[in-house]
Amino acid sequence: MDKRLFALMLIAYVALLIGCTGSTIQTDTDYKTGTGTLQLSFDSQFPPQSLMENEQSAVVVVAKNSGGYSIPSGKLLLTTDDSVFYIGTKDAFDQNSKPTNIVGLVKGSNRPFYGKSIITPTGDQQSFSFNLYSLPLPQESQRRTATITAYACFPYETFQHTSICIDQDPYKTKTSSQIKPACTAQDVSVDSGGGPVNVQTVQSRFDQTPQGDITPSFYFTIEGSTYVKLFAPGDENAFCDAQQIVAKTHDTVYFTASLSDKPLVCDGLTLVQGYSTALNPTYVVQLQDGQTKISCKTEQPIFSSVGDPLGNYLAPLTINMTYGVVSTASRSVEVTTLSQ
Amino acid sequence: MKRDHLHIGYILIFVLVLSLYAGCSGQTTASISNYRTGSQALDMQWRTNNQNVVYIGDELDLLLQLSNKGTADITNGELFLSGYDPSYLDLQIDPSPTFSLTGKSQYDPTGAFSDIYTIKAINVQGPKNIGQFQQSVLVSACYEYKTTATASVCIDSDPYNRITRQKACTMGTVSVGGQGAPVVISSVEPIVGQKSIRFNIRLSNAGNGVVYNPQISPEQCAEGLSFENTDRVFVTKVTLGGKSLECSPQNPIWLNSGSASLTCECNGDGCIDSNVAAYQTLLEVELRYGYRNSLSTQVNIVNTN
Repeated sequence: MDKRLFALMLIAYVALLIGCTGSTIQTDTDYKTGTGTLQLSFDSQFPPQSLMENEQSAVVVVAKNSGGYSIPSGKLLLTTDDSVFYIGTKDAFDQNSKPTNIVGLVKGSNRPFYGKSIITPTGDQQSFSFNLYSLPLPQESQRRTATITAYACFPYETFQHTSICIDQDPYKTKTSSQIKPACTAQDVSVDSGGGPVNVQTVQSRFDQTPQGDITPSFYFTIEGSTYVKLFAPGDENAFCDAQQIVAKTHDTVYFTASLSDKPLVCDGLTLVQGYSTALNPTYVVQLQDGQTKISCKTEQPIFSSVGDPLGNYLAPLTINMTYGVVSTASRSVEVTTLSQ
Repeated sequence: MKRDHLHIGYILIFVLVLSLYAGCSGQTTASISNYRTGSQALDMQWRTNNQNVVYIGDELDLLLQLSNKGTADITNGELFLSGYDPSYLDLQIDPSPTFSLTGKSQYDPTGAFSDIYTIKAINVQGPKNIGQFQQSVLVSACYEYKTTATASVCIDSDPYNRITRQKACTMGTVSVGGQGAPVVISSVEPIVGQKSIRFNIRLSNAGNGVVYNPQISPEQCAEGLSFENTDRVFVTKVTLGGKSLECSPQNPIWLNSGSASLTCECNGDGCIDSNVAAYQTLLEVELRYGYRNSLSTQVNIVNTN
């Protein structure tokens, strides 16, 4: 009995200790990590690996949002070789109905498709079911294999933040030996922000006005994931509606950045019409082979009160990118004749 | 019986003498030697814990206390703040960024303590869309300080022993003990000539702060120290047995990598008493400089929206 009591007390003590030391304040920002987004996969049994001709089956597409952002609305499209499959029931095929191969990408009613967050730590997952009818094969064919492809078209975004050390003595005219400043200016790697497009590195440069104030400039290296197609926001729908890539806006993202909540202005980039405001200038960024480099700076110099390294401080740099995404999954299905 | 009484009497007398001796020797150590120790001047301590978490919209209060652990008095020193993004923290020092503190003395061997300063931000702000944001708060102090060092040096008027006679001391490099200031005289080397004596005096910054030119004000120090004004010390007095010596280089002396050498010379009559083979005398050195030290803490700004 005494031993049991002792063990209970020990467990309570350890639990208390873990509770006290391990407590950190978690927010939704903590879930905006990685390079995930909504990804598609097929159920292992639907569609099956092979079907007989004239057979009806189901296709179950599983969508999982493993990124850090919610999808307010989107589309899910299923395509296949028209001479092998009809997406719909046999009855619908017989009545010459239009295939039912596109559905809304929603999770229940009035609820966005959540990404990772405090309330959905692993993100939402939802299955979408389609009917599949294998058409009669031509007489000369014994078997045919066709690829079934699912596309999800949806808007997405990436929010990233890092801390930038504001160098108060960029030309090294002053000194502060023996006293450790709050930070030292350096290039930084940025953690992925929970979306498929991310700023990888930020190089900082600081210019000083004759009055001693500081103008920071930043060089961003942006990289997009290769497992999804990227479009300017809104243009992803054109792909699901007509399966056409709008070449002009392919690999395009809209980019906004701010330092200490003051917007950065970017050199040589076009402002997004109807999207930008003076307080929130948004730029069109075109990726080449999945990446690009851009340069931005603060509009106004930063006032320097302590003009030596002791005045250095960490300022928050936030980056927001919005874009359209097309996610894909494919499965090969073989159709064989009844005579086999 | 009478013999026992005698024994007890001896023991009592012995105990009395011992306690008297101990009392007297303890008094001497405390009042004369002990307070001129260490290489600190201003000491700053947080009076809050180091895990400062503040929520957006709340007030941040950091408590600070100063004490003067050196022997010189500080008059009109200046505190200033840095290390944080002013877009989010509007920090003020309450009651005032100016401070004065007396140094250690034989009457006050611990030095003066200040009242508690509050470093306050009324309405803390944080970056939008970021859950937590870490900021440093550095409080720095700029003030003028003084080092007074006295070294007992041996002057040998006949270093080559041309006349054989008994010498009271041996001439050589001496290290100087505790001075109760961050810039210290680390060593004094006497070199005797025909009618002159020269001292190579080594200075160094033994504290954990930055030495600066005392000709710039504490306010200028707070705005940033240039190379020309950093690590600069003024030698205000060097005397040998009360007689002033000529020193080079000229003021201000540059503490290159934290230390410098100074040569001070006594020329002409009266510098050396040639009637005495070797004798002890006092070399007094006084330095004046600005000093800046800093103390930091971390503040975690939490955004719950």
